[in-house]
Amino acid sequence: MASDEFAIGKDGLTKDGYRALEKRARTSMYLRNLIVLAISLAAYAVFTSYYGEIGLDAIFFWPVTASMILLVIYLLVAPAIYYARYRYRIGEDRIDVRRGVIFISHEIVPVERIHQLEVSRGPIDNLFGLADVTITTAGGLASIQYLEKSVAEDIADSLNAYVNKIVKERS
Amino acid sequence: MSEDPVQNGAGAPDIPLDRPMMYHWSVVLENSLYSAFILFFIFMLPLITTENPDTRLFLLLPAVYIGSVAVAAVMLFWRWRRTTVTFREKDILIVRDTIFKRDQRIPYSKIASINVNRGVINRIIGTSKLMFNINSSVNAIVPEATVTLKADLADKVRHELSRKIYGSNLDANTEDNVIPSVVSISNKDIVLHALLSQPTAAALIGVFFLGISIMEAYFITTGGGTNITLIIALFMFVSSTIIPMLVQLFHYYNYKIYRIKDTVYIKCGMIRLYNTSFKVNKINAVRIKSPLLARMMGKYFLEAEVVGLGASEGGNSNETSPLICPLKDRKTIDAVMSQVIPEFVYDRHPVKQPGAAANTIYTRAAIWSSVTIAALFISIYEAVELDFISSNLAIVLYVLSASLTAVFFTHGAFSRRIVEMDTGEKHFSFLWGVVDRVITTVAYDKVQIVRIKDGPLTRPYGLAKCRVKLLTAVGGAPVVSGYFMTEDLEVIPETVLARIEDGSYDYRAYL
Repeated sequence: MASDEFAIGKDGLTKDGYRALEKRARTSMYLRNLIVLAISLAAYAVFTSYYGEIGLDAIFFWPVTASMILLVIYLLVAPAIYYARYRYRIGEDRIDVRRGVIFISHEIVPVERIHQLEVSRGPIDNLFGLADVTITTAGGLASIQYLEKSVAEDIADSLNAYVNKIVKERS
Repeated sequence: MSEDPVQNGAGAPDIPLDRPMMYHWSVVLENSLYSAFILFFIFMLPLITTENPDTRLFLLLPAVYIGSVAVAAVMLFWRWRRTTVTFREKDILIVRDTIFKRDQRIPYSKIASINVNRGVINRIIGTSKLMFNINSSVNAIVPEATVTLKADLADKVRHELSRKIYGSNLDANTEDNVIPSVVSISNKDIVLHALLSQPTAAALIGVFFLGISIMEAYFITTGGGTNITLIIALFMFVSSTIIPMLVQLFHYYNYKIYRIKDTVYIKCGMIRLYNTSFKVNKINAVRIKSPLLARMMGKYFLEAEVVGLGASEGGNSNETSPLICPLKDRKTIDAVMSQVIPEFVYDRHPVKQPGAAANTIYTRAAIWSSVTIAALFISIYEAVELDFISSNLAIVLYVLSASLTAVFFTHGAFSRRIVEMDTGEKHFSFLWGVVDRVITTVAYDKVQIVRIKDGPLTRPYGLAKCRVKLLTAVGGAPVVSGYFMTEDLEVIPETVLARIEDGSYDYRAYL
């Protein structure tokens, strides 16, 4: 599933020094997707029961059904691929995050550009001891998701210290 | 009305530093009129539009309306009486001592731009609005503070602060009468700019609705057609084409641009006067734009994306980036760039999308044309089944739909040949667009986040697309590349980081 670029060595890093997520991150992704799936299936069930009654022609049935099948496949398959391709690296000068299922993005944020950091946790994250780090720059937000809570806090602390150092040097 | 000696003209002639000043009283009038306008829609419009309303409502609603306007006016008066602005040695202090207390300090060192705006009421009464914007990402669009003063005092304040912030020693009179515009722009140029600078898609939509309006008007005269269709079509034509043109015309009339030291000054406006100034180091990116019609006439226009430049009050909410040069030939555009923003001029060596990009582009064209044609065919089939259209018309529509394949592939072929990128020492640029083209030149030092993205159609060929996020700015548009080799695109973040690492990036240059 993952190419050499994403392969993890014995040291827990890729050949380029990227880190992978903990396995419970994948379980967390599955749980999120199952919730979305349950809601989507409920909506689909309502649609199939009533589409005739509310005057929608049969032409709507097949596109909606096909979309639903694709959504179900995506929700079931995506966590494994997303997890396998999710790699991040906190360098001295940059934050690199690679992620994606169909499209893979490589996001690079120079540490020098960081204004603010935030660690956030939702109910599912709490269940698995995970957290997201949101990085605010003057041009927008970037995030590192599904991190182990302690790792997220360490990253935020070290980057915060760096940001504070820059602010002190410049004031 | 004013008790402030400075506002009355009886105070010191220069700006009184460290002395709290009240805003000009016209701010109460202007805001009261605005409140009256809004309240009219709430209280009076339902009364006017309701058929046979209760007669008691005829007495009650106007009374409530007048009462609400009076209350609003009293509150605005109270707020005006209890709000002061103090121009201090190092900052502006705005104090509001009402229920919602406010104590706002704007350091001069953080001010990115000072704009003067004069609307109709300002011009009648002889006041100006000074709008201050700081280098904030969260407040890039709305001015940090708007202060209304008598016009001559506002000019003095602006020039005194310009002296402090930009080091300009010129007064308003010198600026207006002595400094020539960098480029000679007549009002004919502005009319041409207003007509031809609109995106081609908007122009086509306008033509489409104009066509429907004409047809509907014809049908009405021959006994068919409906008024409502005509009104909707005319409304769409006016809102999509005429209003944007008029906005451009009114905004950029009497256009003048010049640069003093590191500050660019733009003055323009037909009814509302706009006086915009910003430091060159606040420019994120510059864009040379050429919509299809303008390009066919060999015309281009130049815009700058500026950090901390608020949208002009009274302008449209989709305020564009400041215009550096209206539609002119490319030679003039290059000359203006060299004189006004030479920092963004560099020796470009653009590269076209690699040959492998053709595979991606044509595969995308095939997918999009298949999806579009399938959707159109199903729609036409259904329309025939439901007797909405005749089978003869359906055949024509099937053929037209199928011909969209040619449109998609032609667009792809042009895109393959046109889209390019270039990476220089301090800047990089992307040329984007097939019908309407834009060359965006960006300073590496303004880049905040870089995202390089590949997908199933690009990954097999080692291609990707790059999206760059810059400092938030009014009129900011996405900076996106075409399909290029991933390693070529990675030069952008690597150069950003290298410039930080080797000290080429100096944050002080952008303060």
